Amino acid sequence: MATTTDDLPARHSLGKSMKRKEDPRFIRGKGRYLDDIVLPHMLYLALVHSPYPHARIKSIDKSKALALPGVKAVITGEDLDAAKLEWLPTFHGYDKQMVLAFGKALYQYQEVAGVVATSREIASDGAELVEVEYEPLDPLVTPFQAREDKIILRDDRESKTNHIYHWEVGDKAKAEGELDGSAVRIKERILSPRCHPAPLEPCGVLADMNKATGRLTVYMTSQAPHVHRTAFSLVTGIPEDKIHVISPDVGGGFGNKVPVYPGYVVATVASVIIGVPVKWVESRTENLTTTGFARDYHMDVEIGATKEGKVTALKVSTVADHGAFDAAADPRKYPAGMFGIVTGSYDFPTAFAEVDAYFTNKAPGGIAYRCSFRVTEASFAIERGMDILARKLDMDPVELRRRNFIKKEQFPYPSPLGFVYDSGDYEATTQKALDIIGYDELRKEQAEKRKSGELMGIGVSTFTEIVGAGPGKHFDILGIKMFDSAEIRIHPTGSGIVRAGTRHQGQGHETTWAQIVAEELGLDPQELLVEEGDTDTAPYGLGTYASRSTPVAGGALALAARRIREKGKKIAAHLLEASENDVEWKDYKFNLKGVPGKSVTMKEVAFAAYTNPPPDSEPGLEATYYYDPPNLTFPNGSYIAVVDVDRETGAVIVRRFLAVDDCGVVINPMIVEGQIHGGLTEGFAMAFMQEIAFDESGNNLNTNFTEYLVPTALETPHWETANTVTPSPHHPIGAKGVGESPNVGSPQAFVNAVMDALAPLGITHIDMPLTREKVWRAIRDAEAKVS
Amino acid sequence: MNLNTIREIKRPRSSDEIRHWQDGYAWLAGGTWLFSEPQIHTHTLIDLETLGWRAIASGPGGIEFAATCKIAELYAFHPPAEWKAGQLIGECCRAFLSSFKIWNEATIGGNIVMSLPAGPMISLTVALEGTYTLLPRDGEAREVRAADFVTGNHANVLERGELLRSIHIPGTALAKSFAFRRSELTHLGRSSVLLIGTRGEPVGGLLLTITAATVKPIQLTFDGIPTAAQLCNAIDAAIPESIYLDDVHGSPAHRRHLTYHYAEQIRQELGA
Repeated sequence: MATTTDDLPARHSLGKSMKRKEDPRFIRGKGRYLDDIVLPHMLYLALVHSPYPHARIKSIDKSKALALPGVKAVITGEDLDAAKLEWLPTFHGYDKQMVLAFGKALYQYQEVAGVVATSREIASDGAELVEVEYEPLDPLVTPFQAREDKIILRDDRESKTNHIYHWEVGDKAKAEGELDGSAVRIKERILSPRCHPAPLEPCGVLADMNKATGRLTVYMTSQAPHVHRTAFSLVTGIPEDKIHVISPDVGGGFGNKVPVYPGYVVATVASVIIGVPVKWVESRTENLTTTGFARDYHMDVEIGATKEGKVTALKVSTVADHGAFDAAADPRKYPAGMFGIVTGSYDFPTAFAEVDAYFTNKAPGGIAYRCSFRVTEASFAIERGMDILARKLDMDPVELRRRNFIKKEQFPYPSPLGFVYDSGDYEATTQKALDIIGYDELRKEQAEKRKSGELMGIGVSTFTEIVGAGPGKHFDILGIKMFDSAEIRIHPTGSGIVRAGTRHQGQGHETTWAQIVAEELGLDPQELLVEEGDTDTAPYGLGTYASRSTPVAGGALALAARRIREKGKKIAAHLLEASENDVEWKDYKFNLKGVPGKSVTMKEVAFAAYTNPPPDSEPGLEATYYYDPPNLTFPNGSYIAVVDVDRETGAVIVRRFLAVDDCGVVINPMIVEGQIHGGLTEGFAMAFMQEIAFDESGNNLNTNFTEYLVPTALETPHWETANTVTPSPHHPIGAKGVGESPNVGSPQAFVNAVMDALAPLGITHIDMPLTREKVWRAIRDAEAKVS
Repeated sequence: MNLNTIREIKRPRSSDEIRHWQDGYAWLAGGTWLFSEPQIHTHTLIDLETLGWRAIASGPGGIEFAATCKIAELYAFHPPAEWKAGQLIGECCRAFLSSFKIWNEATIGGNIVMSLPAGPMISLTVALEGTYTLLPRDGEAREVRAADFVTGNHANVLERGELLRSIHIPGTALAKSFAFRRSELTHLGRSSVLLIGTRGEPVGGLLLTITAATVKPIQLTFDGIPTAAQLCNAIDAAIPESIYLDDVHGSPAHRRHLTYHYAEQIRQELGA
């Protein structure tokens, strides 16, 4: 039975809403972000961008820029090509990516040249003086245009097609056969539109090549510093020991700071050539137009069911727009990420999913925005599909879900698409949500309002997420297994330093990592310093994204701490003058079995480790653990949105929104609640406000915050939250991760609510974002049909 | 943004010091737009700050705003309670595509002379029957009705080098009842439709001002409160479909629909 955080037994440090240790420096303005770092003799890089989405580059004239006082260098794709640095490997290795446009520009705002100068302003002025002659070419704006192969985008590839890959999972013939034989069947094309995570701090780098030591120090806005160090080594040929990557405080990432961007490479090349530090910090427009976007999946969702509402089969066929390069940071074996989670929380007897990806004249990317490798798209597809099926069956959408939930006794649950779900109690989580929101009363209210023509909607999302990549046997980046790591050193006085291969960007690791270690060792979390982001000191890790930090690094931390406890037990036995077998760890200290009151604390053990270690034992008290999880974790939740739609304007008011999450064991409820608030706000933005749209000529229409909308406190609804706890059976502390759940689970709750409100008008589906204009148009068109 | 074409910044004590207007000159008020994008043809900025114009002067006949009055100063100004429509000042300040930090620099005049469809200072001053005083470079000051100033999207009646000096809002307009309707994608975002109705009490006519939805302000005057049909007919006659704005904030069709919808709401509210 799922329980709540409040029901759990009291613990030493876990489950406590400890204030964030990192916040005092942030709220005092003492955070140290990339652009705060200024080095002697530092130069600045500005990039020249293509105004065309598709154009042949006929010539680049640097002369005027080089003549500008203060300009030190102008770098083009030709220069990089001569140095064999023109192409970057993409993370999964299926494609390569231009650093600077060379021969052709493949998307609007693509980087064409870099200007290095003594000030940011001069670099910017110099960039304007670089004269590029373009021959505009017809663009490919949609993947549907691209798949016709009338225009071939990538001259550099042997394969003369815009088709990147076909990926499939499941039994196609069986799924199609079951669909054909189903009493009830729905099919809907559902778009998860291109959007952008837009972190408040944009991306940037400060590369510092020290020619005296031969060492390259790279300060960068990185969610994965070690991976970036390896990538830099692979691209430049500089041995990895000569590269030091430091990720200072990072102002939001959401996946946007995982890829390697051209600005990073050009700044590094400039520093290597010139021998002084070179900084590049992108503008908001550069961030929105050139860095890792999210989504852009066109999904045909088909579900079959019996008349009684028991699902029989699922088939999802997706056309994916990957932009000009296949640079999504998906694992090698999973070009479509974890889209196989598309069966969601439901017990489908059979299922099939396929994805065909295409090149278009848009910026590359695809998996950013708080999404565990296409899980947001998958979750949106199944939760919308289930709602559409419920409508067709004339069944309450909650009832349909309940009839098809994977039962708690079915866990570990092997899904028809290959994943083995670890744990969950969907019925309990959903019942809790229904009770809190007062679902039955809301339905009664809705029925009354419908009599007078008012448009009130209730939307449900009972989603299952999949996070925590590894395990290494399935997931990799650049071939590196997706484990993570922790190193703990306990000082003689019982305080300590904790280092991990992750890099937080607001998640609160400095607090939660300390809580995990403190829980395992009975120490004060306030006296455990957490460090991340420095490749010279932290153990190798794969970084923080895809909600993987707690499932992977969190496990490493607990297991490293348990190694310390093992050694501590020997020291405790020495101090207690007893056999190690007679010592047990209980109530957060070492106790002599059967002798009440005879115990030593970890602090006492730590002091002894340096001052009085057991004979023939190694002094000191530290441990390292590289954790490769045996499985992924499967957080889940039941979300309910209540909306009112203004029939005249199309405006949607989110009256209530409840999120009941089950992310396993909660380390810090306050931080988890904050994570949920942030993710729900992003989900709200996706549902109602955000899309990176292009016109017919391939021009990006959302290049700044006037046109790409970010919700403020004024737009954001009030969030209600609650939780249930079904621990992950394979995770060392039972945690599952939560950062992405609200983003993954909420968009469909909003959309389902609006569609529920519009149901009396016969409206089945509207693609996100549900702007008031789109809603108004749907209402107008529906009313026109009736009249 | 760094304006890398600027070679000189003039700081005159009087606008008369700038007699001979040249290509490449630009008046600098708050600069919030001027510094937001490249101004490749501009080489000289003439800073209005040094003219020292009094921001706000209020008397029984109305209010005189200097063109250089900051939005923050305007927002902090509270007209007498009997000037009921004075509350539109706050409404229109909040309709800015800007944060309170921008309010500290942006000016009323800057917003008006930009002459963008969603300029809330245009909405405010047109709805309150304002008059603008313009200073040509080589002639006498002239006055223009606010309703006649904007001629299109980013276009107005200003002659070459002509300067907006001040805005007069008559007390008679400020004393009217008002109704305000606005549609926007985000609260602090650009307006897609902004309608203001005013009505003199007790039995005055309805004055309906339509902005943001259209490329230029449209003002409709009624002797009394029109019927719904009369209102629709008047809008039909005054606004051809071609002048409804089309951008990412809304299509002409939606803007047109909302214009009628809000106009009817205003009619009912002020007619009640």
